[in-house]
Amino acid sequence: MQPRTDLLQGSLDLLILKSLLLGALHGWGISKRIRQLSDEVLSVNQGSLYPALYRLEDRGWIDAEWGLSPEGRKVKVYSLTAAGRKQYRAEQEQWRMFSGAVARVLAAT
Amino acid sequence: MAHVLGRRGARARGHLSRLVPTIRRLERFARAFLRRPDVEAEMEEEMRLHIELEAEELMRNGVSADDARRRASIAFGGVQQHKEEAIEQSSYAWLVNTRRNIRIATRTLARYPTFTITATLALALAIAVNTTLYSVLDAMLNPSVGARNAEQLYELKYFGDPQKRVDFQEREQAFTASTHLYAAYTEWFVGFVHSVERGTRVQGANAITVRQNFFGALGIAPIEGSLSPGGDAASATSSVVISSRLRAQLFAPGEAALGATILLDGKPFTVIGVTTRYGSMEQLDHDVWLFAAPGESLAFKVIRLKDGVSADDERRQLAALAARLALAAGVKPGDTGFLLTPVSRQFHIDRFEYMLIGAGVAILLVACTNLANLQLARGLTRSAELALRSSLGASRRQIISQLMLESGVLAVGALFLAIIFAVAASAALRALIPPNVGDNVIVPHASWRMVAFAAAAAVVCLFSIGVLPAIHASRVDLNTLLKGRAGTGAHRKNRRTYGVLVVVQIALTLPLTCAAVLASRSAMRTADVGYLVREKYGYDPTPLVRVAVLLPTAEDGTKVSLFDEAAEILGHVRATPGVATAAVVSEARAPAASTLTVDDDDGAIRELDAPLWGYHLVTESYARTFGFTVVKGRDLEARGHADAVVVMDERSARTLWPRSEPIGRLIRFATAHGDAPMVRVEGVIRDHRSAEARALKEISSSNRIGDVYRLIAPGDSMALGRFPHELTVVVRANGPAPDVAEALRRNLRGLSSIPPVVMLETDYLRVPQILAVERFIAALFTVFGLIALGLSALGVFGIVAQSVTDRRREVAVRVSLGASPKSIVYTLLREGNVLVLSGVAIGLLLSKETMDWFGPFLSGVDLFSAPFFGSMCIALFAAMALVALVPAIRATQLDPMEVLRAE
Repeated sequence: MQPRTDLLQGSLDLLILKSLLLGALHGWGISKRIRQLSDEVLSVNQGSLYPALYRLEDRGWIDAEWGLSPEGRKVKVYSLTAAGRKQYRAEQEQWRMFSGAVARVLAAT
Repeated sequence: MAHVLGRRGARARGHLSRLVPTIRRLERFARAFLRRPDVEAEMEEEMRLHIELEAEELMRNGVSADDARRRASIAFGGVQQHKEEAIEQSSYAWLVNTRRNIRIATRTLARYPTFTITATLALALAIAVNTTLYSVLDAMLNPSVGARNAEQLYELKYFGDPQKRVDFQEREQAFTASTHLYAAYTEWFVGFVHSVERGTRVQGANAITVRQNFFGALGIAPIEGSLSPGGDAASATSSVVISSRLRAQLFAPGEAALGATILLDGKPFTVIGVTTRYGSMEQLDHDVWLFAAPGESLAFKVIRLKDGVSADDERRQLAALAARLALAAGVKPGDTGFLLTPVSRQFHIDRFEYMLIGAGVAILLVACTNLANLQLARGLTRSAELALRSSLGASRRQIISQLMLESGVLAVGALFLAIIFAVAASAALRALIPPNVGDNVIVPHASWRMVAFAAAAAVVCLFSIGVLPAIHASRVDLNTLLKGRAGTGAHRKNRRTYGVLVVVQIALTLPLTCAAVLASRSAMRTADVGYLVREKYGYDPTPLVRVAVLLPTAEDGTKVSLFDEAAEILGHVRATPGVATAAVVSEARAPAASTLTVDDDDGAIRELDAPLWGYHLVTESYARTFGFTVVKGRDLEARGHADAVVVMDERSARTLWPRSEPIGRLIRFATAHGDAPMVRVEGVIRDHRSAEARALKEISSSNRIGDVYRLIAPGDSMALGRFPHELTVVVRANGPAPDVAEALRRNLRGLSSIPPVVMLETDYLRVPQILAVERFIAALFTVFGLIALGLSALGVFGIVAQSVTDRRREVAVRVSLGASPKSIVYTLLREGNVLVLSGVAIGLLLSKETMDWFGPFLSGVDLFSAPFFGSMCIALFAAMALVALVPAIRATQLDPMEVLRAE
């Protein structure tokens, strides 16, 4: 198991949007999906996940609905809205530009 | 088609999808504000579930249950903290914070109940006074008019064309035919009804003659019956509409008025309808509406504009019509035209209203300065708490907004209370206003504008009581706090700041209390008969009864002997029990010539302008009946009638013969060359204000030099006309005037075909109404004065009490060093007294500037009497000193040991 890395500032929103792009999830599910997708490299600070979720919901990028989990538990399920998809694309583009730039700097000799 | 529909459907779905997030956001806003506990509970539930799921995951990886739960909890962090963070990051964070701050503000205010209750009540009272006064003004500026769409109604007048070259009939026809100019057209003329009689009830009433379509055109609804006479011309002209006021005077409650017959100047009329009398329109400010016979000319015209037509459009069209008429008649167009004026009376804000506004604003200012003072004082008391908050990281902005929020909570509480007070005060005012004052002059009415005004006043208060003290109180640091505690006098500067506010309060209170006392004195003086005699009327009206006898009308100008008529009337009057003396006065025969001729001091004949004098024909004992003092010569007495004689007032005598004795001089109301005989001056009576002139409200009466009374001679006659001539009989009663009036009413019934109108002289002079108005003004200003005085007293009490709290340690040290209670009281009062004295001095200046406004509403009081203002200043100073004494004396009872130990 690789050591977990804290998220870069500002990248949490992008990761949440990406996790929800793949399907609706509850809070813990989102944090788990980020961990799984990053091969256990990225770890979401669990407490800070919720302020981010409420913020995204507040901006209309994700939608929340109370429902039942397959185990019969009452859970709040988050899903991506149309505005959220648009935002995801914009943030993804920004991230690509940013990571490309960082890579170019590091590759310089 | 399907394609178009599909496109529309897609567009609608697009709109909807854009709306959904907004709706959801509003829903979240509402939930966050109204159901915050639910929102927080859900957050907590979600976070707990997260910890549980995490723990289960750990257990699946082989961690023991307890350890898994502990590790999951640690990994998650504080639930409460994340909740706060989540709320802080939301867009409704401000809403939640405001709600929390309001709760804190309310709790803080609840900790100081005395302050909160006093402040809320004072503020509510001040806002209520202002709101009530505003509602009065609102009622004046937006009077209730009975007519439907009264803004469409205009009075139409024709002007110019002095030679009358445009034919009157042609003009009338041209206008009437131009139906495109108006939606409705009607006419009216001033009516001539002197007495209204029904059974034993006789009333004076003012009447108006109108066209049959009058009420329909104006859009007036009846209270009872119909306002439009049906049937033929004869039945229409014998029909009458009466006001609800006259109905109440003539008919008992529950008694049917419709179809009843009433006598107007002796002629029978049938009541067909009852409507409301409105003071807001001249045409509706009457008690009796008579219907004109078809073809009868009525001088005044009212038109209703068509829907959507502005007055300017109408004026342009009327100008075109006038120009057409003028051209046809050979008159220069532009010299003549139609004048269009709105029928609703245009009220302008008069001095009385300005005075009311001034008094209201002064009270609001007093209340605001008072509260600012209290806030300031409280802020200083709370300096420890504020310093602590500041040292814990609260910014100055946060402290100011918290203090402002507290003021806001106060202002909102006061606003609600004020609206309740204002509605109650408006109702009370409406009940208290004497009926004749209330003719659209100062009747308050509740409206949304009143609530808006109250809210605006509350906002003004909020800023004036909130901003300054908040800024002041936010300037705290621990250093000042420590110094203040040590009693180094660091608070002296603060006390000076709010001392200025106390000065402002007292300065505003003095003119208000002076006005209250002056108004009360004026009301008391008007009630005093001696004052009425000495200064207002020149005679005592209480034992006098006035009878208006109406002579029959005659179209042919038949002449009757005034001498005989007067003698007959007097015969009947004197035969009535309880009559001491009586005299007949005729104003009907005005002197034909506009010149007055007198023999001058040196015997030469001199001509003067007759309109400068009032000229009355009277029977003997005129002066005696009125109770006028004869200062020279004697009263007019029945004599051989060989030579006509006059009496005149002192002013006339002084003006006509400044250097010689007036008795025996000759005078005549005609030119020097006329053949009318000169009459001899028989007596001079003490100056008095002419009751007739007052009643007629003649503007010219103030320009008159004086009055001359000539004895009615056997040759005096008068021509009867289309309208009844009135002879006035003034009767001095031996017993109670109302009883004599009743006896006269019974005894004189058969005297003339028109029943005479008998009224008490006091009613004729409107003494009860004048008294009621003065009492009303006095009551109003007394309330204002008392409120201002109370608030100022509160202010002074506050500053001295604060001073005592600030200086507890100093007082304790002084007491322990052996200072006497007297010297301690003196030290504490000295500070307050300087403030009160400064306030009184500024108040005196303010009073000097504002007392002039009261002049027209107060009678018999000197507005600038130095002793009065001196005593008011002393009284105010004494009252304030007395108020300050309470906390000062309390300070002397401090236990020095206890205070010093506590410090």
